[in-house]
Amino acid sequence: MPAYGAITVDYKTVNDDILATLEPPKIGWYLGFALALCLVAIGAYSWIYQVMNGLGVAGISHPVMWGVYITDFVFWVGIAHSGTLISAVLYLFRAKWRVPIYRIAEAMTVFAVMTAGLFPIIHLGRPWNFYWLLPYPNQRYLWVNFKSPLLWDVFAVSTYLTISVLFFITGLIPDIAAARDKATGPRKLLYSITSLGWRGTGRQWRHYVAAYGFFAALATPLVLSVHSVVSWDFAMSNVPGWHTTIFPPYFVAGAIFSGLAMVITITIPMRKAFKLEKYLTLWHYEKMCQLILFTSGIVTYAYSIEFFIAWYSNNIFERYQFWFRPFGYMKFAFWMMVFCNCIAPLTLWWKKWRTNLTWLFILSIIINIGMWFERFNIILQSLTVEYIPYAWGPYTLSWIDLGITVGSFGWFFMWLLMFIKIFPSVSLTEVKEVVELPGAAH
Amino acid sequence: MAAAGCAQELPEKIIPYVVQPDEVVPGVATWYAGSCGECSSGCGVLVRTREGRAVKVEGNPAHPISRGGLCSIGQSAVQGLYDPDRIREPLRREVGGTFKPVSWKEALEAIAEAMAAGGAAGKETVFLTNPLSGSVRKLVDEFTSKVPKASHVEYYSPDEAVQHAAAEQVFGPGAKVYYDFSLPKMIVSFGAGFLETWGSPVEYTKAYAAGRIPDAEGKVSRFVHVEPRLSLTAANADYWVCNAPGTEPAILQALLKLIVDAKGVGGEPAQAVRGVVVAKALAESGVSEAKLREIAEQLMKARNSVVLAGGAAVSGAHGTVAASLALLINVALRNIGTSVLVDRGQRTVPANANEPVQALLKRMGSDAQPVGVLFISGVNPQFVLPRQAGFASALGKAGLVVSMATNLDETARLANIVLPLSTNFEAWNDSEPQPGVFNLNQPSMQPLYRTQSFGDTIVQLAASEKINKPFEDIVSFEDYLKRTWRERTGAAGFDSRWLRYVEAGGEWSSRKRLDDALQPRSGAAAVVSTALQSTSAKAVAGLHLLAFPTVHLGDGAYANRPWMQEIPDPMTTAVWGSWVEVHPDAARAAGVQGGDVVKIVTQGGAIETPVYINQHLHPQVVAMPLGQGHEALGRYAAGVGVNPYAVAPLSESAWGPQLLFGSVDLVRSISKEELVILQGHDSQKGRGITRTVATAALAAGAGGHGDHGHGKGDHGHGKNGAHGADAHGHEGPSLEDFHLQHHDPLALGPHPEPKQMYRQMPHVEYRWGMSIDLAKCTGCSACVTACYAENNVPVVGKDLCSEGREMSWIRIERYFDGPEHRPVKAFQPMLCQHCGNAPCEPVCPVYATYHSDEGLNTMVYNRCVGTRYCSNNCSYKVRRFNWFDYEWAQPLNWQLNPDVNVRGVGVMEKCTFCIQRIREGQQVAKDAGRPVQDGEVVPACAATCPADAIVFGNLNDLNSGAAEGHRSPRSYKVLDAHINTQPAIAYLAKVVHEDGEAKVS
Repeated sequence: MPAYGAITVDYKTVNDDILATLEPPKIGWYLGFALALCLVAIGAYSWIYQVMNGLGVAGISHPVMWGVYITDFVFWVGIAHSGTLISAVLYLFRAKWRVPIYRIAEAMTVFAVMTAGLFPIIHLGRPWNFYWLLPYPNQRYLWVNFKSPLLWDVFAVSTYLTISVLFFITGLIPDIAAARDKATGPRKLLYSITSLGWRGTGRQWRHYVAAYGFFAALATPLVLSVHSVVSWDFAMSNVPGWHTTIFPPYFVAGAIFSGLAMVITITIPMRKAFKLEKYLTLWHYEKMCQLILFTSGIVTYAYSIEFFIAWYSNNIFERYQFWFRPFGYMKFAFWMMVFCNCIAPLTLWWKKWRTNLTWLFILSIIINIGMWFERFNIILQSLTVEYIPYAWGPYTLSWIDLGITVGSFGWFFMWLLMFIKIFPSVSLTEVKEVVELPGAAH
Repeated sequence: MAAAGCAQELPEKIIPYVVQPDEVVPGVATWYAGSCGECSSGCGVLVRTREGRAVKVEGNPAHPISRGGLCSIGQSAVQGLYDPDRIREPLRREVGGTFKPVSWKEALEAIAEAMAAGGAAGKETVFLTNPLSGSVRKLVDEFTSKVPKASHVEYYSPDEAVQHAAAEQVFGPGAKVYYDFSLPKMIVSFGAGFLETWGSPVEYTKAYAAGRIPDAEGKVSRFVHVEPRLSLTAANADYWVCNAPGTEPAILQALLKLIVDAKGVGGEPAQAVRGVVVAKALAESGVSEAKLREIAEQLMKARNSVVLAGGAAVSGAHGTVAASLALLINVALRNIGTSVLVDRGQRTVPANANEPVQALLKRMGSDAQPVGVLFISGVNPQFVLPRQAGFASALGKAGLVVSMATNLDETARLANIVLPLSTNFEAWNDSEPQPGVFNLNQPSMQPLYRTQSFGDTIVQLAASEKINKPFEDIVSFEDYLKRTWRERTGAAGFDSRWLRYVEAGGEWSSRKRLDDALQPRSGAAAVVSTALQSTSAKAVAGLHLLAFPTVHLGDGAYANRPWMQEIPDPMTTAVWGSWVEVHPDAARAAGVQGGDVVKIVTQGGAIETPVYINQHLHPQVVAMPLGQGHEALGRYAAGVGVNPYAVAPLSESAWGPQLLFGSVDLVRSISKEELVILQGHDSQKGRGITRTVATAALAAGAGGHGDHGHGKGDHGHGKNGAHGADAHGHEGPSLEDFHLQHHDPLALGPHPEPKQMYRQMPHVEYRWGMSIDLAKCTGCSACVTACYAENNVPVVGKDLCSEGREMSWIRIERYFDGPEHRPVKAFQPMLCQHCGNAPCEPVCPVYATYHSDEGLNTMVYNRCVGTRYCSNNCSYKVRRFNWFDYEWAQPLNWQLNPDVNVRGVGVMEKCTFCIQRIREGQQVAKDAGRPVQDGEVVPACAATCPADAIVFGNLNDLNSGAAEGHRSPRSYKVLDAHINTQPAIAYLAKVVHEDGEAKVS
């Protein structure tokens, strides 16, 4: 009897099973892809409409100048997070349970950053001038303001995207080569090019392992830095409810929390569709659940400490803000967050629940909704009631906000669906390293 | 209003003058002195023109009435000029009922023909106008005297009619009362909104505000306002007495009785209250005897005082009585000749000032149809008269109806011939608003369209052969006007004097001193007491409707000016619509809530409008603003709100709409209409944004305060950089330096700014700053309108306002968190604070907003990409974002200030301290080789402020008015003690007699 969570297959089966994911898609994939494209079309239409008419077609207005777009931005950056955590940090810690999920988590990271990166541009008043945020020598003699957290964001997100993509591609090379060896026609050409001449020689493996470790080491601090920097967008301001030192760890924990939930959301249907039950076992889900439970605890602690500090600081503005969140007219968003992020994950304390994949799938969606509302609370509730009561005002969601938000989901899943049909979404190489061959002695 | 399309339109080609006019230097403004023609106050103005177009109106500092101030309506006059719905040429009604353009010649010939034909048939020619003044009045008089069966009828607003009647009742025929607010130390106003629209508000505000700051003895004037509703004026009072509607005559009687008894005054005042029992008089008024006694004592104790009755107090059935009683109280208090000035040389007005209008309507409506030609100018009877008056049907029976108007208003729509009227910017005009004050208004630009002044039209009509040329040799109204001035001032040296008059905007050296302590005519009391006996002056049970004029819309003539629709009413902060103010109890009784639409049923009809729940209202009163509910007038006015005039009953004492009346029902309606309120929250939650200080606290705190002033002065030097405060840099700041709050954050008085971790921008020569005295600010909102006019602030319309997208750079904040008798602590203009430590600056990723070395928080529109982070981080929320490309309907865009750009979509904007004016001042100073002097640069808000509440200047110059404000023991900076923003604006706490919450540190 193999150990709990062990993957017991032979190498050929691994090859066959995983490369089977690249076979021509079935009806379900087409439906999913069509839906994603529809959502992208809705988002694109909304954005074009917004650019043509002005940002006023969105729900943001005085005093809530950042709304759903920045919520979406932080949400997607957060989603991106756990991918790097799983692929890089857990790689360095040699946590074996990452093996079957890290590829899809990394893909998720890249596509989520690609999605997140759109929002700062979407939300600009003059998006056609977005490149003014880049510090490059120009004939206008204009430079950027390095004091602004938004500029730090530019660097943080672009660095993160670069490293994630490089890391992702590096890990893919041996697998693409494996796919190349089986492929025919145009795919053969594609894989031949993208595998960068991988032959599996000892020298190549030596370089590969070194590079992979190097990128893992490079990506690890980014796990902490990116979301810390994103949190500084808020923490560096003087807005009551934003201006707090707890934000960086709180945001990082929240990001891992939501990212793991997204991995679960993606892998459960994928596992079923591609018949990968052998590789993605309940043991793996249990490990993720433990991490979710842990990060849920951190965010719950962070939520409570915010209230404590608001009271303890005796800052009247902060106090009002933290009275407003649970009891003001936007309390729905607050209690939604509490339910989704603090209460619902508590079910994972019980093995019965955390090994029930149906529940896990539902819970992962609940958590993602909750994490979206967490950002919504932080961003919108804080801006709604700031210092000067004359200027208090509500936010009203518009169809454009909604269109762009669903469009971002379409965009993300469009890339993800394309990816799983083109490249192996489970790492052949690493799975082969950890499988226990049938009949092998321990 | 939003523009479609992302591409910004290409600029128009600039075509230079082929032959440059002598007086025009491109890029340099030409100023013309004139007078404001918007109401009858007669404020002096200076019109700024650029390349031949009027772009801005400022108050004329040399004018004796307004002394540089100008109200919101006066500021909006340029939008009246460039109103896109102005009538551009004479119109004549065709058989089908539609208007067809005709030439002036045709129109005037048709009129002359009708007059000739009417004359032959024994029919009348009648001029129905607003009360005229100056040469045009003389011209109309001459014309009507020379043309057979011609007459002139003037329509007085209900309040004007009552004031006339009361003045004549008390002081005899030809009497008119003026007020001087610079003297009274105690002001008791019964309903008179003298800080809003009543009388001569700019003049009154200026004098009143000066009395609201502590004098040499540390005393400030005391102001009690009695009205069933907390009006803007009431909100400024030290004590607001909320009386039952219609009980003002009884309260005035009781007050007079108390004064007469205490002072032992005899004569008419005593006779007027013979047999009055104070307790009985006050029985239903809701005013306690103790309070009234206190008021009476304060009145008698004050060195000088004034008692007024106007607005709501004279809007009921007994208006004239109330106004007369107030005058008698002034007699008893010996205020006549000091604060209450009576002129007896005026034209006599009938006891019911609008009786001629009533008679005219009766004649018009009669079957004999005696009116052949009816001219209507300066008045819109179809809008301001109740439906009950039956104006439209009477008009239908008149022969030829000629309307002279700028817009096709409700009355002009019914006319046979519509003659387009020139505005004050395009025509000569003069007036005598006060005895001996002669205003002269010259045209500041060519007429935009084929328009003419009323005077010119009469002159041209008079040239017609058909009516036998009543005056031969007059070629134009300008000519006529010049003649009247020559006649009055003498022919010797007139031509050179004339140029001086034109240049100055009038002549007021002969202003009449009205310091006679006139006694009331005998029998004045008898009229009052008879009037009181004949009608019961008791409170009537049930709901009353009070209709009130507002600072932006007046009686409704200004409703088609987008600024006047979009700039919020200072009390409710409502825009673009009507509302009805309902007391919470009355709302509960009627089963309605704020925002519901109700049907207000009166005997004169019913109107529907949204509810605004107002605690500061007598439970028996529902109140509605006047001025909205136009069916015509133009695109911005038509269809907005409802018109309370229409459903008002006809007043008995002064024929016209009665603006306070009973028997009103509220019925919840199923229709929906949004009432857009701009203020987000009505309480400042103890944040010390608006502060008051009691006189006693001020006196107690003043002693130990000099040191702070000194400290501040030192610091001011330090920030210059030259004096070494920045040297803290090398020592490194100590932890103590970062402690912001050694003191109570609500304490007043200057305090040294804490040292900074980062190097501060040195302000070498200038540090522009402002001080705003809340003791003076009345909330009139003139500054807001001036800012819209100066800085090309776009109007966005009702829908966008309701989304919070209004673009105003300056707003009036009004919090209801004072004590019950003074619910509004103060009105507070809020604009960019130009913080020394501005939160908006470091967060901008592209340096679109930065701190200039002159202390300005500068906004570079072209650099802005629109992240809006600056707005999030602005603690004062004074930054406005261009959500769309906004449009100015042609030719409203002609008003745009060429010195200020029009911002495109997607950029942030905000108050610049009128940087264009700073630069202009600096250029002048540079040419003269000297620094800018104090008072040389005045931003638009400060320039227009009728109260002189806003003072702008260089804080580095310790002698500047602004620096002095910053040193005041009453000064404070909003939020500074909490977040160390170091604003360049110091607010000076409002001075109150008691219950001031702030301490002086």
